[in-house]
Amino acid sequence: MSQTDSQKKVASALCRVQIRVERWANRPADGSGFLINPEHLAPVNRALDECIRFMESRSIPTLRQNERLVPMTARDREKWLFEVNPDLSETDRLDFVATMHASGVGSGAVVFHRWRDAVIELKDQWDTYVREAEARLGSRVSETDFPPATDLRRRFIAWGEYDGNREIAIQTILGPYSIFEPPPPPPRDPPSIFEAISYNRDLGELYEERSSGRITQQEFLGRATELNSKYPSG
Amino acid sequence: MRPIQEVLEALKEVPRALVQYDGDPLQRPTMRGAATEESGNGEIVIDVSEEGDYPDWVERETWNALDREVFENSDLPDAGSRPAAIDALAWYVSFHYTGAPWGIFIPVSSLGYCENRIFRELCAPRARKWQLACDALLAHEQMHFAVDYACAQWEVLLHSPSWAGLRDRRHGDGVPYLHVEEQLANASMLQRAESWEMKAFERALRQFVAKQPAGYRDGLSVIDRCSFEHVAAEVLKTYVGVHAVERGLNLTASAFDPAAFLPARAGMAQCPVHIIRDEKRIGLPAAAVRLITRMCNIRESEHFQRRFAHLDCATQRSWSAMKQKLSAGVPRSARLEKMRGQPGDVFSVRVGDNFRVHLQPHGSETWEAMDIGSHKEMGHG
Repeated sequence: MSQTDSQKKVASALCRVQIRVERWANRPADGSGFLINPEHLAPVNRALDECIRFMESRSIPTLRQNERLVPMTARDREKWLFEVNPDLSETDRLDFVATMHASGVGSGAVVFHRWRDAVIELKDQWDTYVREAEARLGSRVSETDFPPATDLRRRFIAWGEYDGNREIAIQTILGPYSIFEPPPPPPRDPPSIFEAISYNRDLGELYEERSSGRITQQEFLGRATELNSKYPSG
Repeated sequence: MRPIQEVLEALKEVPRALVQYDGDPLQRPTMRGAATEESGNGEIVIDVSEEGDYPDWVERETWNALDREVFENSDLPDAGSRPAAIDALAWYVSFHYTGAPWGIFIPVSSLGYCENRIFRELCAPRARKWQLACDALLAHEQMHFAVDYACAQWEVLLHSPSWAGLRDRRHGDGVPYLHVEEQLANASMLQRAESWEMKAFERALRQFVAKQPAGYRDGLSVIDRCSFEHVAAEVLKTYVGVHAVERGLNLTASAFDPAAFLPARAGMAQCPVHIIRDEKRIGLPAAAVRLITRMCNIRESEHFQRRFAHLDCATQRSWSAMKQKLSAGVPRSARLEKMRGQPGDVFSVRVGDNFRVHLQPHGSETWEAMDIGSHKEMGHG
């Protein structure tokens, strides 16, 4: 199949993204028990899992964990995957989700909205949960990185990151399995009858030389190898 | 979906799609030994002698050795070329390989292993444990076939060697197996176990899965339909995603389901199953194990014929059709099973919705239909 250069360029454009999730450990330094009841975090975790699954469903898995490929052609419709990156401020991240929801772009907006609602609900209850933990665990709470309510979203966020090169050529991933590679060479034709006769004649002469002592065993082996490579199917 | 033979023919036209097989599919890749083989495409019904225990050496030489295969292999330095977990008990050789028979390979010794390691604590006849073990192993391996089949359909569509390409990248990266594919296969096996409606067996199988290496054990978390479909799509995208994009197709569109090409259970039955007769590895004589994959030469006793003559035309036609099916391979609808508590070997076959036929084997080739009647008349309650 013939392909123009521009067709190749369009077809081969992929981005690499890494889906990262930061989850708060929710444990004191000594690892005993939970700081807050895991049930309070469950809605956020559920919504976050749903977000990750949604992001995964819009990408192509690779062999490396957490790494995905996204077709450039999908970029315009999947902006959320790219624009939520670590360089954005925390407020921007949440605003972005809210914007996506307001514009009603695809089912992704609905999924992200669930996550946003779950985080806001947790934030509203956070002070109560902190007081409850302090009453139960005392000073061990202050020894942890127990986040303030304002810092809460950062503990659960998932995002996609641009690869350094931004575009990845599919040919570099697929190598000889790319459709732009030339097809494998056809199998070699079987040796002709004349080649077979020549091979047998040369081999016979070689054996004679060895049996008469004109060449050493080492020379014999070397020349036999040479002969076999000259007539690979002999 | 097109029959597998047509897909295989079409694959030959895709450059680099087929790969030379460099192993012996009849051997466990890590346990050498003599092996013979039978094959069939229908259900496999197992009848194994309930008498006697396994010799003492079997624990040491077979069960323990298989334990290492099943639970430890993925940690070995050359794990890339070795099977792991449940794929050490049964394995699937892709039709993408040339120079070897393809299909599912199940050694008889693996059924004994399952009896002694997975279902050991359960109170049930040995034959039932073996039958369920075979069913579980088949379910896992059939999912590998299903993925292979679906992938091949994509390869024909895209004219791209997706399967061989991923295999090459996997080997290049030293990845012994695809986590998501094993997760899917084990989830499929656990779904099959749910259909047994035998909670104790299902629980035992879940415990076995939980002890397997990463990927395999993750099957436990995707048994529900929604998660299962998500993982199935993941697997297919892993195989064909990049190739599809190269062709300008966007597999990541939300309204498209790449796993829709996975065959249903009937499609999976197209995969040949090879039973490796290595009973001696577990100290059993060959005569102790009977594998029924088809029932040719069914003759009808006089008693049967008298009873048959009084039945309605629909049931008579059902029996004729069933005989024909049985001669090609035991269909799932036959519900072939051995009758317990009866003198001699008596097997039961379902005919239509409400009738059963009892058959007795005569030698290895001939069966005699002895009686026919309703479920209740035939002692099935």
